Amino acid sequence: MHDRPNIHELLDVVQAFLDEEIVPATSGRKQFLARVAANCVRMVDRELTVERKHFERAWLGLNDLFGVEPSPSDRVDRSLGVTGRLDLLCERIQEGDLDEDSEHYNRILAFARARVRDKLEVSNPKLLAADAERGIE
Amino acid sequence: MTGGAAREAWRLEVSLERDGGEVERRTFVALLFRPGGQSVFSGAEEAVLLKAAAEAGVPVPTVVCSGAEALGRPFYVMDYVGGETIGRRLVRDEKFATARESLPAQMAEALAAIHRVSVDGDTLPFLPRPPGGKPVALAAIQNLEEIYRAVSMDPHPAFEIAIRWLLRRVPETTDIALVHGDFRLGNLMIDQVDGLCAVLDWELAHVGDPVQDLGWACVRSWRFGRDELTCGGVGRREDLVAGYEKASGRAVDMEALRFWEVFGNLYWGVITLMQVRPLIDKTYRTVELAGIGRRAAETEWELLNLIEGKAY
Repeated sequence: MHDRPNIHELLDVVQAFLDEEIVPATSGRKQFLARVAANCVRMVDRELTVERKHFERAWLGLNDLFGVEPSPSDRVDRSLGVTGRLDLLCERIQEGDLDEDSEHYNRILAFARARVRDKLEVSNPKLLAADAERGIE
Repeated sequence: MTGGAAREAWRLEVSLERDGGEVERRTFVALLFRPGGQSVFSGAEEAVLLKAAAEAGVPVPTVVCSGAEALGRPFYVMDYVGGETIGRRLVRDEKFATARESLPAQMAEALAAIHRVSVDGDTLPFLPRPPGGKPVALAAIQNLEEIYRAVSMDPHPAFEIAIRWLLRRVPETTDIALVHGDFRLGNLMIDQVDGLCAVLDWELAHVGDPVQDLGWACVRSWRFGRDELTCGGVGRREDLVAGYEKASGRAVDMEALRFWEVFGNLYWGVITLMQVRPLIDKTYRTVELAGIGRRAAETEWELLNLIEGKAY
């Protein structure tokens, strides 16, 4: 649809500029912020890469808990759709319907874990890798 | 020097001229309370708290004076205590290896001393106290849940599960004490040789369940990557508890500790959501806050690990 560089190539070059040219040329707080900025760019890159996969997993998991709903085709609708169904799940938990004595408790825990694992795959994959080494997945 | 959101710290190099012309050089730290900073108690009150802590045997900087106005703001001045506070360095650098060995026991002793400070009757009247008529821990969760619902922009099933989990396990203890409220690596001044030499940052002090301080000291974020060392990246939580029981004479119920560790992780998760709000509301746009908002997922992960027995 667009000419090269593609999205990932654009993000990669911004990240490399921050890490390789701004970080060594700055110090103290500026340098710290440049590192954080580079990390934000990497985060965006990872999110774009796995966004579709994470949506599918969340939607199927929610289908499993609440019954099958047709999956939205539009990108914005997908995000709103997941958030809306998660809001519903949160309300049910808050009301005490899904406490430890509920037959659904283990499925709820597994769903919540899968969701958080996906979020960490974007925000902090190093933490996931370190925990996997300790047998926490 | 850095000071945090509600106060700023100044290092004062002072030459004191004694009678007879002898000059003594001293270093102090002045803490100035920012206008509009959300301080629960005043600088003068915090100085009183530090004195009470010192009398109970807590290692704290000696307060020299306090007052209503310096550069237009309330302040107090204390002796400068040298050392390192940066958690990342303390848990990793070779030069702190000796200090790390003594830290779990020293942290336990310092906590035991904090919890010995009298909060009976009218002592330290400025400290926030738990409302009567319900367990201290229940009031704490309800308060945290209220803040969570006010600041959260997105659904977090893991936080909801944690809130329910906590509500079903409220410790029924009637043992209350002075709680430091932010006792962790990062707020402790550490000397390479002597280890813990001062407990800093008292602005979250309140009256509550003493086990809250132990749970907070074990929260994952304060291990600075040394995740297998559950007590602040320097020891195991069992070492902290053993040292604390010995120093305080109080018995610690390990399930109550788990409760407060879960509470602490949730509390930190809610703070990350709160810290990112100025960015979302576009009142303070900095790249630093951008990273913080997404750290909430790390606390969700740890909460599930604690609840499912994978990390406790």
